[in-house]
Amino acid sequence: MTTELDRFSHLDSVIHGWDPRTRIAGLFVFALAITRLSGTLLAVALAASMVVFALSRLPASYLVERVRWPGIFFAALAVLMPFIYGDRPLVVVGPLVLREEGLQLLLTTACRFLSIVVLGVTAFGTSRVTDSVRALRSLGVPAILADLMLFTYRFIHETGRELRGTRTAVKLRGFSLRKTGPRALRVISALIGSLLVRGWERSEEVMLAMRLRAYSPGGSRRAEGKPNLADFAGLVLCVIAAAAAVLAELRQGGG
Amino acid sequence: MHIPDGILPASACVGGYAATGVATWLSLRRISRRGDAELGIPRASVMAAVFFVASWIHIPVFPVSTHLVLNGLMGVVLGAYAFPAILVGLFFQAVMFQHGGLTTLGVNAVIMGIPALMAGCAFRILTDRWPGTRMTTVWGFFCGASSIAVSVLMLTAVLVVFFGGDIDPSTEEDVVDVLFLSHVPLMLIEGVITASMVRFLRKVHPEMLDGGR
Repeated sequence: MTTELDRFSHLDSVIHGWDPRTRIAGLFVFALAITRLSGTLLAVALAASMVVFALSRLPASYLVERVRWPGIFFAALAVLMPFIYGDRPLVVVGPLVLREEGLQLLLTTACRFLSIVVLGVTAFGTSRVTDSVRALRSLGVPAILADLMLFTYRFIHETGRELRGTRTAVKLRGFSLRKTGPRALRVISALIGSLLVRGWERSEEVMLAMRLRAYSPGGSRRAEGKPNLADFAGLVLCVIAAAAAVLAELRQGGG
Repeated sequence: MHIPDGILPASACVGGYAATGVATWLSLRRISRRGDAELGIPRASVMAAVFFVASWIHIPVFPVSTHLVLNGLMGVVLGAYAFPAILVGLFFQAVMFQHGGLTTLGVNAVIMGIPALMAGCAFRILTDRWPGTRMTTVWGFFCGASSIAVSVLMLTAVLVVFFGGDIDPSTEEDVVDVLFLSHVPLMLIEGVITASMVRFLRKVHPEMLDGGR
């Protein structure tokens, strides 16, 4: 599983050049507005999200590998929703009734999901994680939370490497983690226990090192410099687009 | 148990962020009262990372498979740090794998984080009143299983509030039953794993069970 969120942060594009503070704020506001949209307005918003993604020059494979997890959820939703949601029957096959509202809700949800994911991937995949966290810190995220994010991102990779190593060791001893039962749970508990204890001991060392360096909260700095006029123009464009879309939706009586 | 983007309306997303803001503020205020509060950050980060990585371990539960949540264990080990740690873990799950979502981050943090805080409090009260290795293991099971149960109840409540109106009442009852019953194996698995974790940590690192006291 690839955990390198910022592996395409080195690319050169309009979106990469957009200041992370205004980029994250602008795209988040637009994403939030999408949760209110439906019908034609939603289709336009999806198209706009795709344009933003295309402008970022991030590879399509980067996006595709990120929709694998929720794909399972949407598969379950696709099986369930059109048959239980709404009143108007569309197709009746024996005891199963395919309902118009359910099918509509499924399509709306899938479009909203895709648009928001595209915006999220673009917002956080186009700068280094440290820069994104600094931007969030500048946007008002508390210092402790920002530090927690930076440390966690670092530990995720180390813990992930340890898990892969332990998994290999467990396999070499002839045990498969794809089993259920008391023995499997014992092995999984031991595996998590070793991850926890090793992590805890590592955190003690980090704490000592932090003490020696006279660490104080808010070690994660805010983003440096000020966004330029073009950065603010991008933010204003996103806010105006979001407000206009929501107002149009309200006028149509949807959402 | 993570609600993806696009499922909930804007009002729920904003409400979720507001509730998460309050819970984070309360947690951070409690953390800040300690003299060396910031030194707990690496500890909380490690737990958030383990929480994140543990979701890669899939346990087959016929006919599908489930992944560990470990919010009860986070509450037991981290105390007040549990909520911010879960929030950060969920943020990375959302931006790295779209497991959960950015607009639903607030709602998901409440669904996972509040039961973690409850489990942490319950564990401390219960082990203070009824200590001993055997009882601590029992409380570990209780906290692990009940935190999942509370999370499922909260998830169900959110889904019913925002989708319930347009579903036939009898179908809605069936869906709620299926949703809850399908999580019973996860409750038991989390209970067993939290119990064995608590037993193990009591032997090798008992200070890990102080919950950041």
